[in-house]
Amino acid sequence: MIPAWGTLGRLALAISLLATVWAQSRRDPLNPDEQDQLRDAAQDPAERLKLYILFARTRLTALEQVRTDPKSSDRAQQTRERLQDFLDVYDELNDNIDTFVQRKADLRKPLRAVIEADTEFQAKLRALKNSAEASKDQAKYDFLLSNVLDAVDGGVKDHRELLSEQEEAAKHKKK
Amino acid sequence: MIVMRLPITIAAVLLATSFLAFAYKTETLQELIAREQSARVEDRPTLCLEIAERQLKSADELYTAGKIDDAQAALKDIVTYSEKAHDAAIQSGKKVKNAEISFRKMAAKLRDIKRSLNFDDQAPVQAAADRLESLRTDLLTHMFGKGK
Repeated sequence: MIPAWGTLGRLALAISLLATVWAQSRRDPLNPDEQDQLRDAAQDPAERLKLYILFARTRLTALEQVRTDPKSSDRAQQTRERLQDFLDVYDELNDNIDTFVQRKADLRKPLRAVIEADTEFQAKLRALKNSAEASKDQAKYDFLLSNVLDAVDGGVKDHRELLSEQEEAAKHKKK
Repeated sequence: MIVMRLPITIAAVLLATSFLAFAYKTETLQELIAREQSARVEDRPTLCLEIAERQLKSADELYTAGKIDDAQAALKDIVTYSEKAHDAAIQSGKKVKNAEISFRKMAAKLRDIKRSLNFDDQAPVQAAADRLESLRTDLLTHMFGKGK
């Protein structure tokens, strides 16, 4: 009996997802130089968050390069890897914001930069989503792309709320 | 005399407050653990993820305080309760996506913690992050195996 194309497609998708996540395990999404930079900025929220924005942006630039490189051999696989890289860095950015909030740091200035970057990331990811819809290999990274967009959409909302809370708290402090 | 007693009083109050806060936190975690043991399978993913996430916070604080052994015990709990959340999510078909996102975020936090540690202390943290990634992979496979 010949399996249905839908089943084969799901199987291929599951295998490709497995390959991506397996490749992600046992490695750090940040290179040693980036890790050193973060270590140097461990106590400085503004500097540390600025670095995370830069690292996340670098991942998206790499993603765009993969998408536009005519010599790219396995574009879908590379797109997935770059998307996962971006998501890992973005998760760490959010995790660092949570940590600084727990330390009661004043994040008003860095948060404005984060929100600006969020908007930029959203625009780039939506552009990728729109271009991917016309692409035949979209199914191979569509789920991950949706996850990334969900993460950034949620991030924008959280960052705006946090900024608003911190601005409100600062107003009361002044009084 | 009163001036001399004041610092002692403040210290005693602070100590008592810290103790109460600690006791409350421990009790709450224990309550969660107790609730998880008797919970229905569909309620277990949420409870187990809550326990794992709390222990992740504890591990971070313990590493910061230099209490390496205690932090490693918390790491074990993170893995144990993540595995339980994974099993219950698959068994019940509930909160699979939540568990997948939670594993991803906890793994990110663990990587961040790992980088703040001495090289000798990094391996267990990396192992926990790897285990969470592996559970996440399994959940993704499960989700797509079901054709979602």
